[in-house]
Amino acid sequence: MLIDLVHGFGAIMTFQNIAAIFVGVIFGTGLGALPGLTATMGIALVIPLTYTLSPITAFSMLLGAYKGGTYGGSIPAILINTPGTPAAAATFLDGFPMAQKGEAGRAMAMALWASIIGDIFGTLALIFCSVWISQFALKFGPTEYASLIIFSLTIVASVSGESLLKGIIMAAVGFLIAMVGLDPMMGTLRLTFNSIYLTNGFNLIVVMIGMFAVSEILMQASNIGSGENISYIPSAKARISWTDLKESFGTIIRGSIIGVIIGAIPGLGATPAAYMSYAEAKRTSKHPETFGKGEIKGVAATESANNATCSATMIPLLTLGVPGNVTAAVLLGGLMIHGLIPGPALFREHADVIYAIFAGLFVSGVVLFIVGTQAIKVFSLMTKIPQPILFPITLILCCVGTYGVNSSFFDVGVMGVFGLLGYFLRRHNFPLPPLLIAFILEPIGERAIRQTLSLSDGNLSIFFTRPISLFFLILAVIGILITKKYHVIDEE
Amino acid sequence: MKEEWNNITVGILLLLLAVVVYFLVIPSQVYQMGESGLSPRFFPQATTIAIGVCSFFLIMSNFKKLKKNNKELKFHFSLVDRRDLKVLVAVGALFMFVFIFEKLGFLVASIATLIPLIRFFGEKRYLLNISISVGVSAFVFYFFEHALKIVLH
Repeated sequence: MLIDLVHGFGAIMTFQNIAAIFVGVIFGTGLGALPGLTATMGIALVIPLTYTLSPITAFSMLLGAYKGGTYGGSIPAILINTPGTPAAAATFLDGFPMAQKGEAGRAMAMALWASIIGDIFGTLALIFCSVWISQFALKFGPTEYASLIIFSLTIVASVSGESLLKGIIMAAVGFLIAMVGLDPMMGTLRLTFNSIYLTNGFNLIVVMIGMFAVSEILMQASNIGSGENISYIPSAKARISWTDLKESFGTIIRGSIIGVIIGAIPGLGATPAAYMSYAEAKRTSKHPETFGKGEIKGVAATESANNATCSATMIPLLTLGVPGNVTAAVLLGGLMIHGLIPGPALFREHADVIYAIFAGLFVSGVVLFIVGTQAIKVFSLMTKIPQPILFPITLILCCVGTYGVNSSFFDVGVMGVFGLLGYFLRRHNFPLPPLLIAFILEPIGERAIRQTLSLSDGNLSIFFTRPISLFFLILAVIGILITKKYHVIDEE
Repeated sequence: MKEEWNNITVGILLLLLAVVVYFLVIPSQVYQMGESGLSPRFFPQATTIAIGVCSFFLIMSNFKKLKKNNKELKFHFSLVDRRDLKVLVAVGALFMFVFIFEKLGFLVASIATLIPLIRFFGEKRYLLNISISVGVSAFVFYFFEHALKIVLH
């Protein structure tokens, strides 16, 4: 295997391949930094450019775009409280408060370092542990998914702020919003009010941009003339200290492990991984009260997890031929266009290509570092743009980005409605992250729970008789107890 | 005290929402198939009950706090205030943008929305305002149309 990897490095280190990786990472980072345009869209746009390229070059460019897009989403999350991609949906929790304290550059630098370390960790897991991890992922049935979602819901407690009750209410509202559309088991319409536009429910990007970006702009609008505008202090240094990195290293490694495990399980994706990593970082911290107020470890936790999922998503894709999420499905298309059929046979018939792609994953991490450090310098300048100019432009970009998802004006209108809802909730101190988490987890969770109950004829003991399911339920109970203890201490 | 009344007001609204959704919306909008827990209505109903119960607890806990601090309970309705009117201007601009975009295309919509919005947010230099509005709109149009191949007209 090591010899194959060395040959892979030999194959990847050509001018064409390195240039392709640079193009992919730059394009992906730029696209990820624009709210509404996702890493998936970036890959889909890059695919036509790869038709005339060799499989190694083509896939290197696609993976570069994927990694760049996943990292790029953290930039607007930190600067303007708007996740650029769903993967960065948790980065704003501490990234934006850091920007408000004039530490936007430091936050973006930590996001970059955490992304690269998480990415390297994920790549190592892909190369050396993919067989074992894929066997573990194969053991996941509906029962295990349901228990994992129940465990994931304990995250709500960590991101509810000061009121757990408000957090639970918001999570329930998020569930309800996610139920609009087709019933996951029966296929009947639910809560669509006979509108064809709601047949597929609300799009995650639309909800996210509305709830966070538009609501932030509306908050700024409401403070015009009152002298209470939230200040955006221009960023000082765009780097982190060795102490920052040393103190966050444990958090980054834990986040990377969570990202690899979650990324390898089909159907989950980067957002639950990022939130789970954040919740664990907060739970295990000696000073959990600092999270949500500009704690650099919060940024480290989320970014390491979401970038670790990039390579981890490739595990079920390459070993089993199963795309774990939409982005992996697009990558699958890219592989097949170039004559590579994922699955167990791929490693036998195209081992040279596979190991060159593995080497490309490492090289794209280095390229991400180079591109990211320059991107931080450029985007830090945004903090110097006067707010009366920045916010209207951001609003227009949000509208265009939302329109670009489905070329639908209905989506833009929905974004506006969610923006208003988000503003109203923020004004009355209701936390938004639980709503988003619940919105993301509901489709997976409801389908898993109903499938489980269908398999067991309604017998709940199935959750406790399957080992992996029991493990996650025990973790959920432990998580609730630790979080309850933290809330009691906080109230005291 | 204001925060407690805010929470009570929102709690009442959420409780009413839960009641309306449970008794009116779900029966008309979710098709019932069988009586088992696997029905499409189960999860919406369970979620609505959760919203209702938690809202009730929110109302009660805030009433308790008020009672602790005040001997007299005077209702203080505080759902909206003056600054929310400014929000309506921004929301109005958003929907105006969508309307003009649909009829006249992105460029006209973007420029027509950016100029008044930038002024609304406080930039009084008209020349700068117009230059930025036109420049940004043109750049975004070109980038989306030609680089991303997303049709904006």
